[in-house]
Amino acid sequence: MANILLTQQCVRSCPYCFAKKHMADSEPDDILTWDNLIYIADLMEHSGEMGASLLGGEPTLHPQFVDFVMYLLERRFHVNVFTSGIMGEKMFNEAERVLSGISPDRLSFVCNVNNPDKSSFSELENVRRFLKSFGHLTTAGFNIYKPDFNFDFIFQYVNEFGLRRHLRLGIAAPIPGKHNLYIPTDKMKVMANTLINYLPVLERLKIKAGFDCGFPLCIFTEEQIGKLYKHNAGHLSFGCGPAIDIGPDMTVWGCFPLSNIHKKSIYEFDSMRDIRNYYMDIHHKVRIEVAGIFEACDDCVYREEMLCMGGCLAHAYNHFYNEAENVRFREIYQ
Amino acid sequence: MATIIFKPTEKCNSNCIYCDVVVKKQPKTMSFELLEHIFKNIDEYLKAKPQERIQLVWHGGEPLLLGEDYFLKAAEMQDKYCPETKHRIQHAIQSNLTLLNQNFINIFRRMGIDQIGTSFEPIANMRGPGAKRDSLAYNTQFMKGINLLEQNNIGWGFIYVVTKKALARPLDIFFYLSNLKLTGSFMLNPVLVYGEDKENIGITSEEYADFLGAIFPQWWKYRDRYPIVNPFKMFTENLVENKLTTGCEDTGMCAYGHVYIGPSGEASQCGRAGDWEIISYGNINERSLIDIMQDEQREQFIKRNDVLLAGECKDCPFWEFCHGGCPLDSFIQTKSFMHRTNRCEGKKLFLEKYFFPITGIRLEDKYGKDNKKNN
Amino acid sequence: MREREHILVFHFDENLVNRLHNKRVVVITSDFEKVHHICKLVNDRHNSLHCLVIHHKGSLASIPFNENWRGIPMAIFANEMGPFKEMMAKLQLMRSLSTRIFLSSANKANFTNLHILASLGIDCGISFDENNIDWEAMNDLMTYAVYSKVNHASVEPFQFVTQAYEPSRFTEFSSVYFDNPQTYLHIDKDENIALNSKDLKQGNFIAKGLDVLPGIYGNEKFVESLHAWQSFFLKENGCAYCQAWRICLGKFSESYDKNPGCRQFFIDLMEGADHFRALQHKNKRKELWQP
Repeated sequence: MANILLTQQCVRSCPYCFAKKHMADSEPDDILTWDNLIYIADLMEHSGEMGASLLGGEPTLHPQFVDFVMYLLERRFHVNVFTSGIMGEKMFNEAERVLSGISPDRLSFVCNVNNPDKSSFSELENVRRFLKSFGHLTTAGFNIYKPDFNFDFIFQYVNEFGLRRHLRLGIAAPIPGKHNLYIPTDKMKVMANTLINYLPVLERLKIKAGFDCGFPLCIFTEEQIGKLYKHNAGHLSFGCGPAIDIGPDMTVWGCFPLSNIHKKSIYEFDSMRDIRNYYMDIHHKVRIEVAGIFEACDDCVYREEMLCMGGCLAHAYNHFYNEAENVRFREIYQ
Repeated sequence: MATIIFKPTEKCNSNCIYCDVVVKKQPKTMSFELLEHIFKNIDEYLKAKPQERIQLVWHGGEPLLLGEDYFLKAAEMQDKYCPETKHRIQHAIQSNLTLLNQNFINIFRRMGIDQIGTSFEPIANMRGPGAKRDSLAYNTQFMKGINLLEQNNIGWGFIYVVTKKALARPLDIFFYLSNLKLTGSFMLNPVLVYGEDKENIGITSEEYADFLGAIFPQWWKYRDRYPIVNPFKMFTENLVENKLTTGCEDTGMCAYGHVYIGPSGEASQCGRAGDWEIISYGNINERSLIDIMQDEQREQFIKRNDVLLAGECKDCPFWEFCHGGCPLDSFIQTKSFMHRTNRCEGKKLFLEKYFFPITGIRLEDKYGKDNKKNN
Repeated sequence: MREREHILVFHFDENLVNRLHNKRVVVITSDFEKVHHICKLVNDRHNSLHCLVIHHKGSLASIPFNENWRGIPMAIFANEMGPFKEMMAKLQLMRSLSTRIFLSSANKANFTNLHILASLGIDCGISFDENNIDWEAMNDLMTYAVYSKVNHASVEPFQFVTQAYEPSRFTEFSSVYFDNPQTYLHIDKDENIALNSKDLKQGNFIAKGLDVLPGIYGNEKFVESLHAWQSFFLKENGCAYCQAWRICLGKFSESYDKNPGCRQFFIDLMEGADHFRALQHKNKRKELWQP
C-alpha cells in the first residue's frame, strides 16, 4: 500500500513529527493535482496494488479531498486516510455528507491523536466532532515519543465514539540531522515496560494494539514477547522496510524520516514494485553497514532470520549524521 | 530484358531548371515513318532472340505532347508489325502528367501501361512553363494528373532531383514528398549538370551525401511509414537484407541491355548518352536494332568492370551494388569510361557517416575484416 | 473511390425528417426533452439514426441523463464537467448509455476533466476550438489515452486515429465530428447541401435538394472537395511539409502562425498510432482455416 501525500501542510505542530523537515522544505501551495492522482492510481492499479493511503501534512486540507476519496473508491481502491481529524467546517460537512456512510471495508481512517493535555480546546473539539461522525471507520493512532507515555484518553475515545477496536502504535523516529522528539535507543526498554503495562487494560476493553514499523524485538523480554504474542493472536511485527511515500510533486521516497535521502521522481519507475525494490536495495546497503540500532544487532539471530529488522533505519542514518560527516558510502546517503 | 529509352520528341511544355533536353532550340519529333520502321526493327530483333523481351520506355521532352493520335498509331503499328512478338513488348512512360487526360489513360491501358514514372519539385520556380517557370500553374496541372491516375488505378512513382536550392531544407522536402505519395515510391537523385552550371544548381557528392544523411535517421526510424524511398531502400536491401538490388547506373551490366533512340533515329547507349551526345551507335534508319544492340563500342562497358575491379574499385565492399557508378558520369568527369565516378565518394561518405552508425550495421560483420564477402 | 450513400447531418427540423426516407442520419439538437420525439420521428420514416448530437451550453453534471436513453447513440457536447460530486452521482447511468461526451478545448480544465472521465470508464472526446488550444495539455491527454497501461474508456479523436491509422493513406479524424465529406453531408431545412458544418453555417453550398444526393459523386464541387488537400501542396511552406500531415491534413493551418504547437502534437500522435499498430501486429493471432 503506497502513501499518497495530498498536501504538505498540517494543522498541528506535533513535537515528535518526523515529517516536519519535509513539510518545512515544501511549498505551501504544493497539493496533488487531479492529473497526478490519476497517474498514481494508474501506476498502482497496473502494479496490482489496490490499497491507497492518503496522507499529508493533513490530507483534509486539500480542497478536493472528498472528491479524491470518491474517485479512488470508484476506481475500486481501498482508501485509508491518515488524519488528525482537525478540519474546517465546510470540509467536515462535505466529508460527513459524502463519506460517513461508506462501508468500512472500502474506506477507513487512522486518526493520530495526541494527549488532550497537550492539545488546545479547538483542536480537541475538532477531533471529537470528527470521531463522532467517523468513529465507526476510524482506528486511533498514537505516536510514542516519550518512554513514560500515557494513552488512557484513547480508551475514552474508543468507548464514546465507537472507534474500531484497534490501536495503531507508532514509535517516533529521528529525522537524521534534525532535532525532533523521539525515543532514544537507551530508553526503549523503559518504553517497552510502559507498553506491556497497558496490556491488561487493552485486553479488558478488547482493543488490539498493533505496532507500526521500527519497534525492535529485543527491547522486550521473552516474557513480554509472550504476552504480546497472546495479545495479538500471534500477529507480531518488528519490521522496518520501505513505506513508499509519494509527494504531491510526484517525488517518491522510502519513508518519512528519510524523505530527504534518495528522493526520486515517480516517473523514473515503471511499477510500484520497481520503487519498492529500489528503496529496499538502499536500505539493505545501509543495513550492511549498520545492522540495527543496537550493537548486538550485528550478530542477532532474529535479525538474520528477519523476525526483527533491527529497529528504525532512521537511527542508523542519524548515527552517521551526528557522529561525522558523510564520508563513507556517500552514495547511500546522498 | 533489353531496354529502349525511346525519345520520339524533344518538345516539352515545361522549362525545368536542370533539363538537358529543353536547352535544345529546335526540338525534334519523330515522324510516323520512322516510328513504323522502329516497330519493324523491334519485331525483327525479337524474332532473332526468341527468349528476349523489350521494354520500350517513352521519354521526352514531354511525350504527351505527341498527342493521343500518335500513341494510338503506335499501338496500331505494334499490332500490325509485331503480331507474333508484341506479347514480348512492354511499354513504360515517363511524363510530367500535366497534359494527361482520360483518353490518354485509355490508350495507355491498351498499350499495357499500368504505371507511369514522373518527377516533382515543390520549390517554386524550378519547373514550369515559360522563362519564369510558373510552378503554380504547372503543379496544379500535375495534381490533376495524379488524381486521374489514382481514379484509374494506375500506379505512379517519381524522382526528386536534389539541387543546391534543396540543401537548406532536406527534411522539409522529404516530408513533403512522402506526404504527396503516402505509399512511398520516390527516388532522391542528385542533379547532373553537364557543362556550365549557369543556374547554380549543381551539388557536390558530399552535399548530396549530407542531404541524404539529414533525412536518413527519420527514414530509418519510421521506415514502415516510408516504404520505398531510394536510395535508402536500395542500401538497406543490399546491406541489411542481403538482397541485391541496384539502379541502372550501378548494375555494371548496361553494356548490352540498353539503347537510346532519338527523334531522328539516332542511337546511343541510353537517355543521358543521347542527350549529352557522348556515344553514337549510328542511326536506326541505317542500322538494324540487332546491330545497334551488338555495337562493338559496348564492349568497353564490359571491360570497364574488369579495369575498375583490378584498380580503383579493388576490394571495395560496395562493388556489388555500385560497380563504380555510371560510365557516362565517369566520361563527363574524366573523358574516359574507365574510371569510377566521383559519386562513389558521396556514396561512401553517406554509408560511413550516416548509414552504418544509424543502422548499427558493421561492415566487417557483413564482409569480414578484409572486406571480402562472407557468403 | 468506393461510392457509398452519405449520412446526412442536420439540425432537427420535423418537416425535414418527414421528407427523409431510408436515410442514415445524424440529428443535432440542444433540447434534451426532444430526444425520444426525434428518435420516434426518425424511425417512423424508416430512417436509421446514426447519432443524436446534443449541444449543451452548460456542464456535464447538469445534464438530465435518463435511463430511457439506453440504446440511443448519442454525442453530447458540453462546456465543462461541472461539480465532480454531481457528475459522480450520474456515473453509473452514464456508463450504461451509448453516449460519448465531448468537452471543449477552450476551457483548459477540460483536459483534466476528460482525463477523469476516461479513467472512470466514460467514453469521451475533445471538441476543438481552433482559436483556443493548449497543445501541451492536448499532448498530455493524448499520451494518457494512447499509452496508459490500465484500462480506460476511449478518448476521441485519439482512438479514431490510432485505430484507423494506416501509413499508406490519410487518416481523416473529422469523421469523429461528422465533418468528413466522404461520409457525411450537411443539410439544412431548405435542403441546401454543404460539405461540413462550417460550410453549412457560412452558406457555402454545393447543391440543393434531396434528389441530387444519389448523384453527388458526380457533383463538381464534391469531387473537388476530395482533392482539396492538394491546395496545401501548391504552397512553398506550410502543412504539406509537416511530418504529421497524413493524420492532420492541415486542419489547424489557419491558427498555426499564432499557435504552432499542433505540429509536435500530431507528430507525437502519429508515433502513438505507430505504437498501437505495432502492438496490434504483435498480438495478432494467426488466422485458422474455417471448415
